[in-house]
Amino acid sequence: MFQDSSTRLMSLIAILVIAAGTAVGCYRQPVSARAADAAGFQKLVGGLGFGSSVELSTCAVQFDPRLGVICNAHTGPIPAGSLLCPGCGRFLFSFSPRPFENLTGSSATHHVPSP
Amino acid sequence: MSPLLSIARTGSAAILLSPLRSTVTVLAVVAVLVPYLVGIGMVEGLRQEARIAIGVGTPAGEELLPDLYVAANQFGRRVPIPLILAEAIGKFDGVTRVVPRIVGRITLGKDNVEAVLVGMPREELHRQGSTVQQLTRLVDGELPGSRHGEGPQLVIGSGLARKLNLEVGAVLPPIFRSDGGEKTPRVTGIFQSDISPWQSRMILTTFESAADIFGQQELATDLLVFCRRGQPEAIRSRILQSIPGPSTERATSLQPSVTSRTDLESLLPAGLGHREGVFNLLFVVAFAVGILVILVTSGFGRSGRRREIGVLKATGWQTDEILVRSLSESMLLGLASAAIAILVALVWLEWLNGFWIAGIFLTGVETQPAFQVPYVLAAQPAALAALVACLLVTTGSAYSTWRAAVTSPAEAMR
Repeated sequence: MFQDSSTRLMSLIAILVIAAGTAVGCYRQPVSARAADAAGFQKLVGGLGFGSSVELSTCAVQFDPRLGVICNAHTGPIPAGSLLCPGCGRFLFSFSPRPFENLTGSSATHHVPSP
Repeated sequence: MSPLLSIARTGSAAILLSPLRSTVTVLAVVAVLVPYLVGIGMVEGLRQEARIAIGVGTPAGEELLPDLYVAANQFGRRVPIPLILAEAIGKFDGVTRVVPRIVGRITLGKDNVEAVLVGMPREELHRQGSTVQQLTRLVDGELPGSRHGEGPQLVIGSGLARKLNLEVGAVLPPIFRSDGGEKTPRVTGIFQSDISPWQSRMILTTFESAADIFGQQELATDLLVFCRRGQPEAIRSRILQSIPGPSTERATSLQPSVTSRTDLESLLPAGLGHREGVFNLLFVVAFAVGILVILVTSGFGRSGRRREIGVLKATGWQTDEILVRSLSESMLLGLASAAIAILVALVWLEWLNGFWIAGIFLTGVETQPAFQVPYVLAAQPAALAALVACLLVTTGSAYSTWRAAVTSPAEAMR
């Protein structure tokens, strides 16, 4: 009886593994139609939205770093001060509040003395 | 069948001998793996969306998104940029056009629902709208076309529409008072829920209406600069050197800030990658705790298991054969757990649309997201999950099995 049951169990595990593999195969890339629609939306708004927030109440940088260079709630010298921001505190997607000078691209912020 | 394979096959029989222990082990591993797979799936999905939002991978010669974003700083903070600078930048060699944009925070309704108001010039909206193949796939309704002084026409996000119970054609209570009296905003369209997560709380209107709503004429949040191919870096330098010019009195104290696609692209690994690393680190701790959990759960039916191993040893099984049998059992349990975790993660993200968990990871998202949560079920985290599941179960049960296997059959069966 155990022989039958163990065979059935092995088959069940094999089916689960195949199903999981198929799921990964099917969903390992975003749907192209959705990507085209997302590109159309970004064209309409001129490219907006980049981070983990969908609104501006907590931290504009986390909505889109194009709207600001540092988090408003960043407390600077306090250790782990950026974690006080509920936007930056979402550790999974947050951007480190860092000035554009530190980015790999060429300097983006430039001080121009007043004439 | 080789003797080793025959022994390994008895591993599946061993799972059935202690069903409670096997079930608890699988549940413990699934509980650890599912949030990991869901989180990593969402971070990958958002990374793809962010790449689209900055125009990475745009075919050469196709003008989709601006090359440069020019903003102004004062006292180290972002401030509005005067529209007069748009005219100056537009005259630079290599600049094809400059589009001013307003992005601001407003609240709506008696519950003060947060929204992001975006104002784009009317001509630009209709120009871009005409280039989109199927506008109805983006917006249910029409694009706004309101002029200065008219009642604002709005396209609102799917999240706002659901929260405020608004439909196309609905009117909102006046949200500003202009010189000509109160103006009643009207909803001309609603963004489709599956186009982007950032549309959820967005309100799109014309630049003129946005300026009326905020009461800021002749100012913009940023200037979107479209350049000829290969020109952005030179134009960026020129903007930084020559803006503001001596003739722009109001702009003399402003520091221009120019953001290019390269800058934004470098934020993806810097931001998402760093934080993703922290997330992974946290799950290393969770996996370590998982080993202890499995260690404890392997104590379920321990006396029965000791007796079972004692009987096996009494019937001639060697210690290494018992360990192979246990390893086979652990691998099967690990594989089953990983497969179940992947399928549960898929169900949670695809059919339940990240119910509750999307609100944990994304700020401003309701328990039931009003947009299609972006995700990618990549092969790498799935393979890692399978490996970790096998390691978890094997590590958690190997010690107790070995302790029972090295004792004498008489002692084990007592």
